[in-house]
Amino acid sequence: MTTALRIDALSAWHGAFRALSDVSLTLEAGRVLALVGANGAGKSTLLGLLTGRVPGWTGKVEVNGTALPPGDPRAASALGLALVPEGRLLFDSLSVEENLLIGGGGGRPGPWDVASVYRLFQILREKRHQRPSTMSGGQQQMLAIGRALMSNPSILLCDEISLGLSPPVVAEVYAALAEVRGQGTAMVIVDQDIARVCATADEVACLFKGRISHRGPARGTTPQSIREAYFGVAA
Amino acid sequence: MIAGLIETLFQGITLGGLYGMIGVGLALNFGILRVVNLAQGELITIGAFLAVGLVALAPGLSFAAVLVGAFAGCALIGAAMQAAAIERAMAFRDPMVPMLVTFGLAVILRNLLVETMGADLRGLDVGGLGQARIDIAGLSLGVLPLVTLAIALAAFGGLAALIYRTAFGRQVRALSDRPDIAALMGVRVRRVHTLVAALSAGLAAIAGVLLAMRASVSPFSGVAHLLVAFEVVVLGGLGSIRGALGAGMLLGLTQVVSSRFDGNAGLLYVHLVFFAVLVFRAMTGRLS
Repeated sequence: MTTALRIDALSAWHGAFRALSDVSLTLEAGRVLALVGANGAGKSTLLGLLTGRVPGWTGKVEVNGTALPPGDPRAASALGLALVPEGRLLFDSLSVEENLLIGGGGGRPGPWDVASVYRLFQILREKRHQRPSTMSGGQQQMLAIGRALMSNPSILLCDEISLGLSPPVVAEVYAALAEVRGQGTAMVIVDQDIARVCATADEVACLFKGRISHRGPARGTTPQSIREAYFGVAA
Repeated sequence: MIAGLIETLFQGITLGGLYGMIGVGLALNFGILRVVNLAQGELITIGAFLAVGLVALAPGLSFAAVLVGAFAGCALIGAAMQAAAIERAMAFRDPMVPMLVTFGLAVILRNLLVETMGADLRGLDVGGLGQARIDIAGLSLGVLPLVTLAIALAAFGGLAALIYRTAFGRQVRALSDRPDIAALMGVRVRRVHTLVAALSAGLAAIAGVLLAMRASVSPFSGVAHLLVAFEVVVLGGLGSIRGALGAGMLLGLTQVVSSRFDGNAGLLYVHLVFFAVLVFRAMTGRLS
């Protein structure tokens, strides 16, 4: 099995604040990692630096064996990282279809194009000429996932994937992610809904004050066991 | 009476197309780059002088070639200013910084113009075109205003097609919405910035050529152009292409109609209409 993502001795700063300390992680190709932790634990910082939006970090990050340069979003995209950002951050001056097209601008080859994203999320085909802001939150999240897939990533990074979505929509989103995974795409999913994300993931990593406080198989992980990991209480 | 009215409206629309052209480069630059380009007036003047210079150097040149030459010359200047100075200033969070840089560039450009061209008024000699008239459906319309209007509308149409129908335009709009996410999608941010600045400057050149065909320009005309451009952009909506055309039309019609009643008014009523619209928007809470 090849390693999709290797993070070694990674520390990151926001100004003087040390957001991540000595984080090491590996993710094998096609595997799904649940990244959990409280607000401010460093989850978004980790996804931000992987996508070139947080430039201030030291350590080593390799994507499919190639070193990731800091602060270069285009390089991150070219290496095969794609982000479904927290809050979705769609382009509202563009139609739904244009949002997908711009996502595919990097030109990486792979299974995902406009047609296959429409097969995954059929509602997007119906709304392809609309502005993203005219759609429901769930549909916007599907568009954000579709836009990220268009770059044919080897690792899909999903930040707060179920935030603000109703339970049936969350189920739909996770069902789609399962299909994406079937294409061999590795994933890092950040979600407050620990039970839900751990039901989908292979492994779980828990961040606590910028450090990895717990790492293990996702199966059997419950909010209770995570809480114990947070506070260092033995089960 | 009716014919006179229609001709007045025609003149207003023609002038409006020109005003729209004067404003649209500023609107584009602000809408996409979030930079208020205070050198836009100078770029308009440079466009006019480039055309005058091209005609003087090569009298046999076709009008289309002069227009393309002025566009290309100004676009190069705009791209160079963006790449060499404005892009760096944009790294500061304070929008005042790039604006001040463009103010400095405007002063430099203005003085370079005076140094090289002198302070004289120049115009583009259009030969008999200025007086030529053509009869359409019983109306006698000036050929020069028709040409002006046609070029302005074609420029607006071409710009709208570029921004709303092409892959480049998609990148431009995405970058305007969310620069950091657009970069993550593989958009080359600096390259698009430079191209947009070039496009804005090229549009300024077209406005300059159209101005030079109907009136004279001096190296000091830039500030007056910038004032009109600001009114067009503020009325039309920041960054709106269609809005720039509509606002230009409103201001052009205002000027032509008001000059019928008060020949010495100049731009007075134009500024008053601008002011009235702002007051109306403030009262209805739609100022921003």
